[in-house]
Amino acid sequence: MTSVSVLAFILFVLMSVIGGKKGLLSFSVMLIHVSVIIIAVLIMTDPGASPMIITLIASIIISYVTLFFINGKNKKTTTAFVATMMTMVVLIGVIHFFVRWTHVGGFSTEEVEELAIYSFYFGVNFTEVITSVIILSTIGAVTDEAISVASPMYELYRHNPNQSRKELFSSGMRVGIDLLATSANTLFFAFFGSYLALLVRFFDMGYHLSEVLNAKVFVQEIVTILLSGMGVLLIVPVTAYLTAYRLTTQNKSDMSHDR
Amino acid sequence: MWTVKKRTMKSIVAASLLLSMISAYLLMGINTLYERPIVELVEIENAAETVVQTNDAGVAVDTVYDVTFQAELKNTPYRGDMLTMRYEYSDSSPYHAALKEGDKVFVTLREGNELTAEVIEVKRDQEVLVLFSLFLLMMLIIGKRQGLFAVLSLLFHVTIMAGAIYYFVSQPNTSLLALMSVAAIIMTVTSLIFVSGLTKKTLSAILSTLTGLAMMMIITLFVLRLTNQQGLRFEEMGLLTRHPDAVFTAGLLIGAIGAVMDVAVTIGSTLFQIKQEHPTIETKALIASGRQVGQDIMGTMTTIVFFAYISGTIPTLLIYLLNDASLGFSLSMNFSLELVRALSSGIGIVLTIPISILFAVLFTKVGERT
Repeated sequence: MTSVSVLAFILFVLMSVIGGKKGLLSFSVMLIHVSVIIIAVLIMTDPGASPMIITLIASIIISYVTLFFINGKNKKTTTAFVATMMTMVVLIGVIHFFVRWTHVGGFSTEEVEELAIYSFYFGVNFTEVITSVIILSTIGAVTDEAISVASPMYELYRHNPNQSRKELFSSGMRVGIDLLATSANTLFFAFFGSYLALLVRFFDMGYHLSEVLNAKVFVQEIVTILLSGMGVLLIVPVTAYLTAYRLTTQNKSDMSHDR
Repeated sequence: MWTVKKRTMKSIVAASLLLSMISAYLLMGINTLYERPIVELVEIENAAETVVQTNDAGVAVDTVYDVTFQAELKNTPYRGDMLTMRYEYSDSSPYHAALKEGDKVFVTLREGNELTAEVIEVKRDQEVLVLFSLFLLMMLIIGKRQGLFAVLSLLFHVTIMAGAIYYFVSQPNTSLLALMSVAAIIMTVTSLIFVSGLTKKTLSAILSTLTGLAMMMIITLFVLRLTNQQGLRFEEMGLLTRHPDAVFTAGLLIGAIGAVMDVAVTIGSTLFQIKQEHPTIETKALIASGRQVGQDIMGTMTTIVFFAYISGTIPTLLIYLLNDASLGFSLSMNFSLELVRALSSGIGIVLTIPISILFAVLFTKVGERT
């Protein structure tokens, strides 16, 4: 038995015992996510396919599955879904720009040394691949943030339907901003966990600060942290605005169908 | 008076931040401050194209450019000298990206009959600084106080971890996991107290987080020992100059802190609020509410850490597959460590749900007696 299968079994048991039906659902969603990533990578091996487009399609599926399978299909989740997609489209452009501008596309010297036996020239655009990596590492957090903003806004509106769009927007912003620090923390610690080897190497080799700020291997990680931080930030106003807009434009009879 | 003071404080902070960013940017532009030789591309003379690869159908898939360019040395005693250099990149840019005139690069100098140089790394610190400033600006404008908190806690955590690693590297016989456990305790306690002050709620969240993390580590380490780390490929940590599995296990702990803390805080604050609004609520009902919240966040929390870990494997996975390695082999070589990280964090997240409920119930009871 491999370590991975034993750990997966333990997680499965814990999720079904503590989470019940929803736990089982969450576990199956995780399996779907694994297959989405693997399929996306398989499609990326075709040099004719743009990794960024593939990633965008993968994000749609991932966010769809996360929101609708776990939380059910309703007005809140549809709004969160639309907000996530809008943010992703903007984000992918911003991320691609910065990946190109900081020249962090592709592999670092250290990685190339390790992969020395392999050849690299297949026409697959590795600047786009790095953009895809950053997008995908943020998608979970962005989707989570979207539903956490949309959901309480619908509740607030149900308690007091006379609120103006502006009031709704600012209460959505307040909720989202309150969650900002913890969402960013969750993401950042996960990154630090994976980058720990890199940090140890940095002290082992006695790198100078100017070397760290210029080495591709480090800058890739810094750029990932900063851009994903911007992602969890950007989703807040987008969701708050979209939810406020949808709540105030729909007519009241529409709302009564909801409950 | 207070408002005036606050506003002045704000503008002082903003002005000093802006000033330090600008001066850092300018300092990074002074090439002579750098020890490593820097050149600036002046003119690209010749770019020889080679079609290196054709796929099975005989169609060209990639083009490699062998570029010759003139560059001006910007520091070292040879400052001002013009060099003729060569550089190779491809359309797919798996390693080097295309360079254009005006770009600055770090080089190694060779002093022979003639001064020659080779490209090592693009100079990118000014770009990183601009990106960081933009990040800071967005955090402050959209996130205001909370955004500032997020940035400060990020910097604080980096400092604590850097301190722990520094100690580890300088004292060869210490355990990184032990050091990171101490770091984890410091980071958890300070973050949670910083966010909501020293209250019963905070205490309950701290204990839940630390217990959750400890249980997670015990289970994961036990499984890793029991299965003899079968199927784990540490090759991808090959850039390490020391034993990888000590660093890997310490990374498991660090990676889960944020998620576990998030779960503990979410459940804790919901239960404390319910208790406050309905002081007579039965313990059973309180536990049921806690379970409800736990089930709601379980899926998204595991998704967050899952993607944060797994995405990083995509580039290497691609290279394996492009080199005609089988999917099974590529996955077993590149996916195992990240899957263990994701699963272990998942176990931490799920375990923390009952633990947080337990502590929240206990701590809300403590208040009743006094």
